[in-house]
Amino acid sequence: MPVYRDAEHLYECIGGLFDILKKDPVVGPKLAGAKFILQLTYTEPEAQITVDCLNPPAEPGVFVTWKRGPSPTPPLVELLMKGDIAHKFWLGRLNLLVALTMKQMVAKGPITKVLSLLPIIKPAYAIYPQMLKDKGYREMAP
Amino acid sequence: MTHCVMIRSMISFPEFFDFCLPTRVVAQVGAVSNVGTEARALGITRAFLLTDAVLVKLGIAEQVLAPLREAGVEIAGVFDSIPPNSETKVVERAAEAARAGGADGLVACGGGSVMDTAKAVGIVLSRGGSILDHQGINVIDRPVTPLICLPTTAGTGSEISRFAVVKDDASHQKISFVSDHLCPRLAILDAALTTSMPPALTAATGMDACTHAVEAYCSQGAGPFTDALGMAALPAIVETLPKAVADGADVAFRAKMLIASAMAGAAMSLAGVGCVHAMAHACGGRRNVPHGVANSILLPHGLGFNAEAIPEKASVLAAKFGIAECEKMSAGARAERLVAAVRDLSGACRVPQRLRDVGVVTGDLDAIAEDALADGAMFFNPRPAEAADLRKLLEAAF
Ligand SMILES: [Fe+2]
Repeated sequence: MPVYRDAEHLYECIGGLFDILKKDPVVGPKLAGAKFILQLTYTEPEAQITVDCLNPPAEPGVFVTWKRGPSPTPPLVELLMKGDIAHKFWLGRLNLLVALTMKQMVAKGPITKVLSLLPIIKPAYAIYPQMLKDKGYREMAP
Repeated sequence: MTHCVMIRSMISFPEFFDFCLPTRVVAQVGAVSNVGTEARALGITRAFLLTDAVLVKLGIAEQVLAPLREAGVEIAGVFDSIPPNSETKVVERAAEAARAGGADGLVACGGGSVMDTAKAVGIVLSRGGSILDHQGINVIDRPVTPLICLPTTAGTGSEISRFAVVKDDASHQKISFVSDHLCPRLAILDAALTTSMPPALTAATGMDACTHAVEAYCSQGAGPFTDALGMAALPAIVETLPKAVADGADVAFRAKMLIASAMAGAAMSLAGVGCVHAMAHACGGRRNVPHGVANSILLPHGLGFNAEAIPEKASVLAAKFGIAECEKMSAGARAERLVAAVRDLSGACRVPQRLRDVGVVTGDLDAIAEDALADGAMFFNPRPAEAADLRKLLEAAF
């Protein structure tokens, strides 16, 4: 049984995380500084999230935007993985080296750009489990 | 005996490792004469040769073509316009020529740039589209056009590795491809093909091999198999490289270097490298510093930095560099001796010793440190590093 029961559940959790990150005073500006479009493509459940770190949003206090579905313009980087792998990643419990070696993750695009995100999103590993608890998904963040 | 126990206990036994060496390796002086039979065994009927103009001039390309023809393999074409740092437009041109010639297999005879270009050509031939569409990790998920590599330098390890790197001529950025399917099907290690290599190139590529052995062993991705390969290769390189530089015509030195380099390359391919390669890539990107030269200059500094985090491994490395009774020294003294031994090796091979001697200027150092920090190799470095740490190492190497 996948940890996200359906796409809607995945959007609620990972999308919910990006709703926090896009306004986060520490993470937000750094994501905007990355200056590229990231597409996250999931299986089990099938879902897609586009994070636009390239086009600055008009809304004040918001540094980047995200939307459901594929990027309207070709993304620079696309990461493909199962929902369970993504969940483990955002909990900060995924060994990326193992995940890549076991081909649980495909990183399409410039490798340096993918790796440059890792230090930026570190605070998310604490934000995500807390958010799950706040949403009432305590069992997802043991 | 004590020494033996120490070495044995220094092999990494991580919770997880993955080992696969898909490349078959054949080593013999004169083995090039068998390339046609080998190509046929791989099902290749129309071979496309990738090489460089110097090797054509030296008659080495013909040494590859003749046995292919003799075995009844048709020549789909020869592409010899590959520069030392290959580019995407070179890949696209070569792929076009290979496709036009109806190639069903590739043969690469040359150094790292030729072999990496051949890998990239194989991607385009088998998968279509632009080479840029396929960059990344695990993107290539099926076998590509079969490739036979005949290295003419002893250092890059490309003949056995799952990596290919070429420069995007539009963005001037290096683009990387990582997949098990990029391991060549066959590496023919024929030392006779390397005897014409000039001393400076022998030294630089040999120091690259040395850096692969050292960094793979220190890497966070190290495992028991890669440790065994890297630590068997290292003393062979330390002992043989200065001799191969001094007496390039001696085919026995060349053979030992070629084999040790492939072993270190296999370790590097599977375990990853570290901050030395990250900084060397950045120096290459900014100032075109040859890869082996940059590694050679930066290895003592990177190793000195990392030794603190991996004192036991540093002790094994010291033994492999021939430092006597290193187990009796303090960790600090051992690291110092190790760094000095690396410098002695590159000095004996007459490789430039400072970044300022190879075109880097002080104003570059911040940018090189930033580039290095974002390099994929940093992912494997055994000691966490910030841009400021790398800046310090670069300054010391300057
Ligand atoms: Fe290298």
